[in-house]
Parts: sequence; C-alpha cells; structure tokens
Amino acid sequence: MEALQADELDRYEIIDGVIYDMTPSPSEAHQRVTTAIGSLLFSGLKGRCRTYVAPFDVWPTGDLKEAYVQPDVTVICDENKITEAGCVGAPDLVVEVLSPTTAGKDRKAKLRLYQHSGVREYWIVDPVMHTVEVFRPHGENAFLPSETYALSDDEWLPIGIADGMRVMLADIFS
Amino acid sequence: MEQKQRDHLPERYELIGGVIYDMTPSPSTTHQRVSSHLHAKLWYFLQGKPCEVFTAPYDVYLIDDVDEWVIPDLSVICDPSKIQEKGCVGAPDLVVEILSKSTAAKDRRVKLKLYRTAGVKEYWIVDPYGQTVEVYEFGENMLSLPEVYGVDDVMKVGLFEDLEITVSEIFAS
Repeated sequence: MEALQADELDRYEIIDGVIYDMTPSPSEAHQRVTTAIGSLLFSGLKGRCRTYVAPFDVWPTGDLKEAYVQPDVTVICDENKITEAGCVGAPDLVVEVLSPTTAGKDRKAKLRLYQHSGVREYWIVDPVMHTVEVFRPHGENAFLPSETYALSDDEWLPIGIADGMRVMLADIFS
Repeated sequence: MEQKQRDHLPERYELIGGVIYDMTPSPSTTHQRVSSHLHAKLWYFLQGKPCEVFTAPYDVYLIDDVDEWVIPDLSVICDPSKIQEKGCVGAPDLVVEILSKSTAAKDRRVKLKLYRTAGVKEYWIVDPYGQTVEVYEFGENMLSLPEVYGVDDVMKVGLFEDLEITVSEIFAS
C-alpha cells in the first residue's frame, strides 16, 4: 500500500496517511444497493439534508490535507460544509456498502475516521447477508456497538439523523 | 413450546429464549471451507492443551437446567467438566459464528447478547464474503467495539496469547 503514489491512481482515498486504491469499480450488486439507498435517502431527506452517491469527495475532519474519502452514500445537513469540491467537514450520515476488497477498510480505518470526525450515523451495508449495521455515537467521538437490521427479520430501517423517518429493507435489497 | 409446534420441528434447530431457530438447510461450501480452516488451526494449536474445539453440529447448553441450546459453528471449551456426552453444558470460552444469509441477523443480534450474558469470554463473527473477522472480548465494558481483522492482517486471539492467525489463510479457497 505505501508504495502507491496518489497521482498514479484514478480514484483513491487517504486515511491516516495510507493511500487506498479505489479501482476497479464496484460490482453490479454493490451499485444496485448503493443506488437504492441513495435514492431513498435523497427523496426522504429532501429539503432537510443533501444526499450524494460516490464518487463524491469528503474531507471528514474538515482539513483538506488530512483524510480524504469517497463514501458510497453521503448525507450532509449543514450547507456550510458543502463546497464546489465536495464536503469539507463531517457528514451527518455515511453509508458504506461492503465488497470483498473494501470490507476490512470499511470496518476498521473508516469506522475509526468517521467516529473521530464526529459523523452522527454510520451504516455498514452487507449486500450479500442483507444486513445493515447502524453505528451511532455515544458521548464525544465514540460509536456505540452497532444495531443490526436484517431483511430476514425486519421490515424497517430507522434513519437516526431524521427523527421518525425510516426506509424499507425490502427496498434496499430488492 | 407447545405440543403442536413439537410435531413440526425442523431436523436441526436451536432453542433460544423459547424461540425455535431452524438450522436447515446445511451451510454452503464457502461457509464450510472457512469452518474447516479455522477448525484445523484451532485444533492443531490446542494439542496438548486443556482446551478442546468442536465443530457444528455440536449442542451447547449455555446455562445448566435451562431448556435452551445453540449449535455454534465452532466452540472452544477449556473446562473439561463442561464437556459431556450430550454436548457442552455451560459457556464455552470461545465461540465462532460464520455468517450466512439465513443466520447473519441472529449471529449479530440474538447470539451476541446471549453469548455475552452467558459468560462466553470471546466471540468471533466471521464474514466469508467481506473476509473479515470481528473479535468481541467480553469484559466489563459493554460499550466497546469489536477488534476487526481484514485479509491483510494477522489476527490475535485474546484467549491464547501465543496464537496468531493469518486471516487470508482462513479465507483461502
């Protein structure tokens, strides 16, 4: 990983000084789930927050020289964080859809980054197991252990940052 | 459990908090391959040590005298008195669950709570698709997140200080 040079790569992320290659592009199943979540959040949160799907550049710590990521879905409720370049500051909700090449990063480096940057809600979506793990903060800059929602057991997935709002799991994994 | 339900019991099932969880159909090739790799590593490491590892189907009665049992993918038991002919009676020291579509929700919710409260010391959730291992060391802090290992990592085992597992080997095909 360390040998990679950012300017040699098409699409990449930088977390804790480590460059992560974002190629090749994700699978059909990954994109189907990402699109569904993006659409549901976009229409559900319209007027309150803005929703973007990858590739969309995010500097979660607010420092352009620090961590730089492209979450699968990004929801921002504070217009001040949105610039021409992307999002500078912690998004309110971040969604990462797992793939075999990114699952380790999504569960470790990104979880830590989102936790420390003050992201209010983090979803880890497993397109194969049909589960969504929801991380929410407790106290400052620390996530609680996740709550898991599963297509096999649940009908609804609550959107924590939007009180009372929820999406159907069947719409995510259809 | 009502008599009515007993007539229609699945061939293999778990009983947790009065709820019957069907354990059929059998797991996939990938699931079983991961299970075999982990079993081999643990079995080999535990030779000459007081602990023993069992693979599913192996019944674990977490709490003595309670009509409740689970069938973990792997159970490591270090107290020989818990190992009885019908299965394990009492909490194993380490439990491993390998996710599958039909059990992922149960493994992440019901069993996570169950193992924690029953006195299991360490719980691994293994994702054969994402190729990650989440390690819960159940201590006093209920709020701590699991340690996560990906395919580029060598994982540590809380229970056995001198055991390290190269994660990519677990998921080798």
